[in-house]
Amino acid sequence: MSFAEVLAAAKELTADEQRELARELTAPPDDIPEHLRPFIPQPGAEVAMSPFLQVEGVDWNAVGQIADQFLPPPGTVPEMNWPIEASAENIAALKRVLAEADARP
Amino acid sequence: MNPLVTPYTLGAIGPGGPALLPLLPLRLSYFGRTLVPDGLVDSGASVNVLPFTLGQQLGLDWDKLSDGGPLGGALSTVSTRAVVLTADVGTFPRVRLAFLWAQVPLPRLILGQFNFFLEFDVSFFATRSQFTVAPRTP
Repeated sequence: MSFAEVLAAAKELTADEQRELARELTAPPDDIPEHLRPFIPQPGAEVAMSPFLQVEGVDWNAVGQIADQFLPPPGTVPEMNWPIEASAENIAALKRVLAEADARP
Repeated sequence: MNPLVTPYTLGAIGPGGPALLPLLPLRLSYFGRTLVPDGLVDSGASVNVLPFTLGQQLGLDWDKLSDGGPLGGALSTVSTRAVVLTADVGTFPRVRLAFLWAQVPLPRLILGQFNFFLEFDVSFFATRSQFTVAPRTP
């Protein structure tokens, strides 16, 4: 089954089945079913090279709905994840260097 | 000036699994050195953040830049330097973007509220898996 077919089928899945699919797609790489592995880019890979993006007729809305399920629930965001919050000190530093740059010829 | 329409990009697998991301290719320059990274257009980020490795590739000198203060939020305790880079987005007029150069190997360049969102008007269309960027309206 191609990934395009997976996505098309996903639209017909029940909520439980979609969660099951999401679990498969979010599993550690070694646990991803063999037939899905070619469509998952590796960390650091050029995303444009992913076959995922080369599938014609992909329903990106369906992809987005599935992707939503990949997001961690509130309160479980990993330490190195977002959001980035700036302090007044950060903003002041940025404004200062911008002003300095603007003052240069 | 017509906005630049950019499709969402499938990001690499992270702790939360694969995700579609608003990644914007742009050209960053600093005193003759240039990089063309993809920046995450992140309306939830207060500031622009430059990963340490990209700063090194641009020739930034940590010891010669002014202190930007420690980042807050998810990146608290990370030291930064403040730096201004020139940025070219599409065919739009060149702008200056101020970054906090973070002393940590972040996976992505982050384009946040200060000052990317002050220089560009951004609209997200998740249902169409695309976003648009245009120079700010004077």
